[in-house]
Amino acid sequence: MQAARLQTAFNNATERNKLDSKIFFSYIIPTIGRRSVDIAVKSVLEQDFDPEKFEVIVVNDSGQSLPVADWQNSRGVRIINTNKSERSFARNSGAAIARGMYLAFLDDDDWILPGALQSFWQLANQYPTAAWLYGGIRIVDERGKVLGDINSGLNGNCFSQILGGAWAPLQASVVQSRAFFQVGGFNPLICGTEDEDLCRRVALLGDFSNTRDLVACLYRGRMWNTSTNYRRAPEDTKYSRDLILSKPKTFPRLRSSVDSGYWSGRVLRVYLSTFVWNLRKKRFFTALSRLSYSLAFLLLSSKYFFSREYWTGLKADHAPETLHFVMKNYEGAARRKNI
Amino acid sequence: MDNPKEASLREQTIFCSTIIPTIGRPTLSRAVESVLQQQIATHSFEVLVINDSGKPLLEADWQKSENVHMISTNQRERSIARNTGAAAARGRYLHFLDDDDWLAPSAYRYLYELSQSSNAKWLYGMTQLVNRQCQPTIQLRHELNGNCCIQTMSGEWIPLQSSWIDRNIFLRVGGFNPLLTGPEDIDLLRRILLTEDVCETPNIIANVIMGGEGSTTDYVQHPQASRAAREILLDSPNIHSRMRSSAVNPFWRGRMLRVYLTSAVWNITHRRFFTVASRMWGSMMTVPSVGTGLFSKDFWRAVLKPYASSTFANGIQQRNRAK
Repeated sequence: MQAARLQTAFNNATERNKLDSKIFFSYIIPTIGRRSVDIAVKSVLEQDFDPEKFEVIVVNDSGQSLPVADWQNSRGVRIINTNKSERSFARNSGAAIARGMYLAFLDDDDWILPGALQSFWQLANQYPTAAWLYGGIRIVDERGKVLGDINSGLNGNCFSQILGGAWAPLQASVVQSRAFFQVGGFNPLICGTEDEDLCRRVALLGDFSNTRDLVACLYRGRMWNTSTNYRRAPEDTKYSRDLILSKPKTFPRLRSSVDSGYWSGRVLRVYLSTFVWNLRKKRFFTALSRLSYSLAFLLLSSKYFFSREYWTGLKADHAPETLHFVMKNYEGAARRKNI
Repeated sequence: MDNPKEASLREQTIFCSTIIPTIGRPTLSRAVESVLQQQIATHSFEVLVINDSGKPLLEADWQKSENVHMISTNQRERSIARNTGAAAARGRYLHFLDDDDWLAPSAYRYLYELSQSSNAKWLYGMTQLVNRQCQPTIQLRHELNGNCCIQTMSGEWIPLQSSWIDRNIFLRVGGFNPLLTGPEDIDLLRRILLTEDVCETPNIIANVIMGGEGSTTDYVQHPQASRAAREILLDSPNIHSRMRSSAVNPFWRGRMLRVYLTSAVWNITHRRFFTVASRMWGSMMTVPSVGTGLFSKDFWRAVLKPYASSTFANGIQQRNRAK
């Protein structure tokens, strides 16, 4: 009797999956009404990919009507109007109406590169259980000059790498819809680094899969205007890390993903920095908890004590293959030019 | 130059947005009509129907109303559906109604009048409970005003259906927690009470259907989920001071002690020993504020016995008296 019921439930679930899989990717583009949203939307619509298998959801959070554009009449585009509720609410609203198996989030001043959907499609078929798929990202300035290409190339359980500062850019990623909702979507209390926060929570839950293809373009440079409050970012990053470390099963997942002295050092740094952060916040018992885990991690990573990369990881402010180094080089070059 | 007050009024012409998530129940029409029939200027409110059924809704007259907007979410559960409605809402206040409940005739007027006299960010009124046959059973009057942090941490609750919530505050606390199904309304109330106050009007606002049959709430998971949500709140920096300032007599100070002690036990069972130490510290910090209340019977009753809300007991008493 019970077996029959389970079989029916399984069949229903399979049937539901078949229906859901009609749309494979939902691209969600929140906008504050910038003209560049046209480029972002067109970059998805012009992909060489079956138009029945993806949709674009533009979340207009500007509080005003969007200027008329061709793409608004496209069959694959839906527009939802939110009322200046900030990007996490806007993105979560887009995700709530999305029908795709994978959700992708693009900002209104970024765009994806030709062939991106094909790359993700191949990757998704190769690793159907991966919760987060991502590829390389190209950084360009206002003249289209390439400032750098970034791809951290992580696969499998990479929780320690993500928590230690490795970057899987949201713009160059697609997230399994099931995983997105299982972790609760974007946290609206985190502003500026909400993409990294989501990435950490998904990394705790499931595996990553990477393609070496360049899939998205991020616009930076002197003329770049941001709606992000970067002053809050460092504090929000610490808050986000602390929330993650409070979750059950964090420690074993961290341990099983550490594969080198460098990442061992990074994880120890994360524990120590959250210890200091909690001390400053006068959360002494939580600080003690972080300190005890730091000591445990220190003991477990003793085999790396004599490796230089362990100490490099412990000391470094930023992990490699992150936007920080590209922008540092760019700003350095701009300064030298001015001199 | 514009008078800032006038400019702000122009920006916020919509006063209240009622958000009704629906799984396509036929009672939805009653819920929407009860809002559309409110005695209030038509331009000052809107109804957002969030169709989370995954299917198109049956055609109905209310769909032609200019005050009604519809959004279709893809079977995402009520917290996500409500958050989507709140993101799209244009009103100063948010009102969440379920598709099987309905408003009392002058509900909006009572809450509007309350909003003119109170700065509280959560305004609410009385609730008429009805059974599945739509027969009235008891009336709930919560009598919670101002900071009632400890009361809600102990188990008191204010129905969303009878409340108006300031939209800015709702967004600031992050809206409903989508990982909670069942106690998401109590959790939202508690998070808002960490910084804000509530205010009550002694008039019936909503008719709410009670009973597990036909409900989408997971009542089995409810107690555990509620506990887990309360644990997150007990880690908030200002929770101790908010609870202490709302614990105005020995009974509520006893409840405060019990909140910490039960949390300590819960954390022992979950092997979170540093959190246990933190809760024990909270308990120790509570005791000095009790003072002579330590000798009061009320204090020990609150510490030793599980909480039984007087709201329901009063409602039953009142009904019996009326009979």
